[in-house]
Amino acid sequence: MSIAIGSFPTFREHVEDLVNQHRKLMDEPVLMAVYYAPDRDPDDIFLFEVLDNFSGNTIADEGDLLEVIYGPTGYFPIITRNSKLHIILASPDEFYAAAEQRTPLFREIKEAVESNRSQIIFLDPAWARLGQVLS
Amino acid sequence: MADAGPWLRQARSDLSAAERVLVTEESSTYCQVIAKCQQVVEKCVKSIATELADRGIVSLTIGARGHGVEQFIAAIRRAPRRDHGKAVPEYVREVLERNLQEIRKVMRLAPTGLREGVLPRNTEYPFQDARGILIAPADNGSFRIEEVKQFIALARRIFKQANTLIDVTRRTPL
Repeated sequence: MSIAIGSFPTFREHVEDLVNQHRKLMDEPVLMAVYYAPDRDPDDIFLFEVLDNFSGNTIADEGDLLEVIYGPTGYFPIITRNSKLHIILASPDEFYAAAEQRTPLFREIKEAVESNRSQIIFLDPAWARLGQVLS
Repeated sequence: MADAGPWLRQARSDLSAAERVLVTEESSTYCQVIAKCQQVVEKCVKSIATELADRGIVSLTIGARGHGVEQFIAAIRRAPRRDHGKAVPEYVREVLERNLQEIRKVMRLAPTGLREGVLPRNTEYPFQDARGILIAPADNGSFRIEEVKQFIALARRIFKQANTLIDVTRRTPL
């Protein structure tokens, strides 16, 4: 099975289920979750999450947001031999810093939003500013 | 391909050093013991990370803001999961979840830069106490024996569980 960018947002339901799992981690609450399709790796699925208390809300001096890549484990039905799930994680402060520094991952997400290749799966109403940074 | 073995061997050496350095009657040894416990936890978590990355289950990208223990744990906690049944990543997740609060507690005693204009309590460099006075980690009162015992127990537990998890992972088909 091959997943192409053209199929976005075919897997929204699966991604929503995953975000709902993550929302149960109450010590690092999900503030915003965005399912998006960048230009790279067209067979892969991308999810960006902003989490309160992530990494103790500390910011490293340099580098980009944390990207985690999950291979095929049988856990996520849409991940096949040729595709992977990417989750990009950030605290609010890391996200704002990445926006200010225009890091590659921030630019990738922003470009996907501007090209209508993204969907906000969840946005905490108290953190609407996060969504505004991307719009 | 990376190998989890060297991480675990060094963790074993660090744990052994932590146990030998501790002199209960000398509070100046407490910071050294806790620092070694941090090293044990970090290397054990990295050994698990290495094993899971080797098997293509979870990997962190190069270039991210740090590849710390907390980032790896965050990755494992957010791995997609089945509705029922257990496999290796699920056991890894459970071990990490069970020890999460203590892991965070000991790792946040690792030296960092200024936090909100203040040097936070840490095991290596002078920091400001509650009155704002600069003290040394080795000073009497910087760390309590109860903390030392708690973190040695954590280091022993994590070391044992990391060994078990890697053994299980290597024997489990994906």
